[in-house]
Amino acid sequence: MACLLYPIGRMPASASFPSQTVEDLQLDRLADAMSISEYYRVSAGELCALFTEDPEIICWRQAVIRDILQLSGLDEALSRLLDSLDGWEGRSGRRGADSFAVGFSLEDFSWLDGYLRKVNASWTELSRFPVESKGLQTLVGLLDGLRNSPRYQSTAADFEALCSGHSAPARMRIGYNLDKDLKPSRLKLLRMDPPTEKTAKGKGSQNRQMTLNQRAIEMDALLLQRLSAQASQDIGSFVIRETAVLRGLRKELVFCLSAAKLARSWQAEGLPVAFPALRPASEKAFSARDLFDPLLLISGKEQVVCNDAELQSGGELVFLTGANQGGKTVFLLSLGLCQWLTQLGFPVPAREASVSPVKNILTIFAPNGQEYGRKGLLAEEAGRIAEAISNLTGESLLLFNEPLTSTGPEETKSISAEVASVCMAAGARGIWVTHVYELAGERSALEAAVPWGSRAGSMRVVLEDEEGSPRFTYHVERGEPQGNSHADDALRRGGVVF
Amino acid sequence: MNAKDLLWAEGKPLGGLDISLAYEDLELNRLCMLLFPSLGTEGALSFAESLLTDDGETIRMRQAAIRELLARPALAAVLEKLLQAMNEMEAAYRGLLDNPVGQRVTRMDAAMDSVKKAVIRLERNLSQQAADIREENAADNRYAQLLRYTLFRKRLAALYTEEMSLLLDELKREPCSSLPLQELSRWAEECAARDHIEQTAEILRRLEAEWKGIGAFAIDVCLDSRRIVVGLEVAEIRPEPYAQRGMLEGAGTSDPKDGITSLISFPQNGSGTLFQEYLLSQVGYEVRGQLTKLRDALVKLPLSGVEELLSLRDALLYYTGAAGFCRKLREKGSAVCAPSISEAMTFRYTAARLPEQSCTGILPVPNDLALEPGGCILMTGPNSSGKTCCLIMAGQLLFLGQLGCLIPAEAGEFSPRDRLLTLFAAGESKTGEDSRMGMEVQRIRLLRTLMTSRSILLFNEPMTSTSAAEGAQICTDLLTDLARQGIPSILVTHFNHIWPGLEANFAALGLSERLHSLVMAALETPEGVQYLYKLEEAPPPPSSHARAVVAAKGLRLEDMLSGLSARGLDVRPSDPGWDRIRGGIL
Repeated sequence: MACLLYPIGRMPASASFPSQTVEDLQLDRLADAMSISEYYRVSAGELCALFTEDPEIICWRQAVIRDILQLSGLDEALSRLLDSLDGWEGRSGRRGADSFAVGFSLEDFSWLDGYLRKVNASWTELSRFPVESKGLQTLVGLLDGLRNSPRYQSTAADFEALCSGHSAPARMRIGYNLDKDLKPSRLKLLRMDPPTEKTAKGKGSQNRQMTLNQRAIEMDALLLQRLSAQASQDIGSFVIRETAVLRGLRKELVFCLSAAKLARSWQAEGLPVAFPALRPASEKAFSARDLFDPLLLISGKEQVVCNDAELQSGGELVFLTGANQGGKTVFLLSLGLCQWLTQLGFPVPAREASVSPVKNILTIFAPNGQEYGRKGLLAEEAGRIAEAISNLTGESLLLFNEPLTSTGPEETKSISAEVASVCMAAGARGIWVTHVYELAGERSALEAAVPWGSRAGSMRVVLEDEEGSPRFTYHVERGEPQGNSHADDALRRGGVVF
Repeated sequence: MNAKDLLWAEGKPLGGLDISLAYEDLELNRLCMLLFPSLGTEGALSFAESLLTDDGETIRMRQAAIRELLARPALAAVLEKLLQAMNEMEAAYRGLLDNPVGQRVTRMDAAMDSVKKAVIRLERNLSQQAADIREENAADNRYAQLLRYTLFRKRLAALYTEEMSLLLDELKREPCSSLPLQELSRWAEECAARDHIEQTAEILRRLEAEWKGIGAFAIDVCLDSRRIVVGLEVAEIRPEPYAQRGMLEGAGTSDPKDGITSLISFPQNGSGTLFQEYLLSQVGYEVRGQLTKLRDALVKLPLSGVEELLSLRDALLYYTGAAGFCRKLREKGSAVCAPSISEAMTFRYTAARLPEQSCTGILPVPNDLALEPGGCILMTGPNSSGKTCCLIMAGQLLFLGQLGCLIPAEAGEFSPRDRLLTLFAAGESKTGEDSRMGMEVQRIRLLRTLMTSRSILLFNEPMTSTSAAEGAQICTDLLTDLARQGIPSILVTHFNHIWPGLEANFAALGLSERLHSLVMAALETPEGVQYLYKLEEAPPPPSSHARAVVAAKGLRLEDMLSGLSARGLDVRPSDPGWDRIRGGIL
């Protein structure tokens, strides 16, 4: 059942997202940072599966997340619902953490009825929030329909038949398997017997009574505790089929709570957050004010600098040049992540933004040695670019980061010009970071060759002069390339002097 | 005798080769996996690292033993089998050492009996049951030790006798010529005589039939109404283990005998270990009669050579791995040689091949490669023509040489190094920690801190993440600086235009004869570029033939346009504007 991520009745679109883009945009790191807990971790792959160009779906999600950000206490209520939905699997996971607590619990053996009570409690709690989004309104309605369902009553009855002694066991049999080192290294709960007349009178079996010392008592209690935790897990598996509908909401809740957490983390640093205004895909618009790279917050080592970014409507390929370590890649990532977050329905790292959805985000970043091995860097890069071109459309966003440098300088220049002009001719938009200044300097020639295609623009890193040395501002601006990458300065700052 | 006696000329490690900054770039982990596959990627590399040496005598000693094993495949096979059995022998031997009480449980039982009688006499008011409890408390884990000691001893004896018999049979066929194998042979004969290997094997066969084994057991935990543990009983001892799955997992389809839950792991902390001992002791106590009888028969069997045999493990691992690697090289068609040690050259290889590829893939084209002390090679040529492979080859051959292995070449000589240092073009950081340029600069700084005149530096297309003019200048400065310090280096690059500047700089330093320009040969044919994968001494070529590479990947302008056009995009392939692009618009 999908209701938070997709309007009811709309089948989720099966989106494929380039794995190279996931890697280049470091989406795994961003996914880790937004995860609400280790247990409820979201992965980049899961998020990318939600990438959509459908404005209705994007707006639907934006409304849900806006409700969570604006209604105080709603995220806590949803977290509690998440814990309830997570149910059996989650219970066993949490119990593992306090496995050294005294005593053991057989609660899960009779918890099936209680499960429905939790559904009921969640409905009561959520229904008091004046939610405006259709997604959350649907969720409340769903809980209302489920809370009296008879399904879980019958499941409880089935389960009861498997363990008759669980309510008051007098004897629990534990089986131990020996490993090749003759250690009893694996164990399981074999059975639970209720008290019999014989045991009630204090008479045991015919077997030899083992010495009962304090250590044995403690360890048996611990093992019973772990076995009961395992039983919880096994019960979880047992009832999965009965709870499929509710558990289907788990990922949706995790997704929405993660989005809210991400936005709150930016706000906590005094950085702006915005829900981008959606423009029609045909406009090919991208405009963001005070855009920043959320990955910089994760590392926490670098200063976060906001930049304005705008691509001309109708499509523009911007060549971004400038000094080594001046912030070109950071700007590229900011723009790519803003587009990605927009199409997940997330808030974006900017004061305001206006974005047209794209069909896909295609990235070309330099591979490292482990990735291309002995195929050759150029061959690997050419393969990646060819793959990108094969997915290229007029509604693609291209993010090229210093491509095609692994050959002679003249060849780099001419092949880059061909690839760039093909992308422009197709009508794609994006950013092309490069040290080949001619690409930016002679962009009008490229435009003239393919006049029907996207425009070509030039942006550059802003440096300020500080007593004869360049000072990095990490700002970018529209302008002609300056023809110097300041590599000697990068060496000097890195402590390398010949 | 131990492994060091067979691996090091002086019986102790000397010198080494620091590969910590090069192993990833030179793919040494993959190479080591071919040498020592049983150790896994990281294990193989660290094992090889521990054996690297700059001691010529040690290198020659190892080379001789590997050559002999290549000449005697049957002996190599026996050593490989011995090595495989050794893991199990080690576990059994450790089990034996860890359970010493198992050897004297009977004596302890007798002592405890007298203690028990004394207790009964002295404490007449105590019941027999109380005395039993005291006895069991005092017994601690001795029955667990009895159980383990007996089984481990049986396993160890069986493995030892079987493997030593095989080794002796093979060594007797022909006298060994290399020092390490002569030592091994002498030791094996001494052990066999001492331990009466043949009689031991016969006794073991008889005992084999008597052991039933224990695979699992069950304990009943008795609880009171508050779920407090009030009693424990051994409920079952059986040879077969319990099934992984329980009733809940099967949702009514499993056999009820499988129990309720799935199997879980026993807590492996301090208390868990103690409790395991406790349980095993109780089980051992239940079957103590059977165990003591078997143990008494086993302790009479002599196993004096086990400990020394186990200590040879590293040597066997090394020699069988190295010999196996060379055998694979030969099977693939590569020549194999033992490179000599020489201070006259940093290295000189004739018809050498990339070791790892020679072993696994299509046999690479052989190349000659030589570098004088303090010399420099500028390696250029077309994209995808094999420059990086040659660079890796130089590094891998040096690594193999200082490991004492034979190498895939017709002839070779080298001067042992103290460090292999590399700088391969940085890819984009996966964690955004630094820019490509920043990472390369940090690497250069590190290399310059670590390098000595006995190091060698291998560069693969560095400084491509800045403008070509600035990158080329940095490469020139870097190589000139190394030459000035007498440190040998190889640079693979497409900055072909740095050659005149380098020549001038080396001439100014009086080192012209130590600078070489090697080019990966290629032929331009009407069909395209034909790669020869052969190094030639020549000035850098004017072109890197990049178009051939990108075209092969589908990046030819016509291919891109027709592909997009076929997908309905309005790219107008026949527009005259494309002619301007083709003509080199920039």
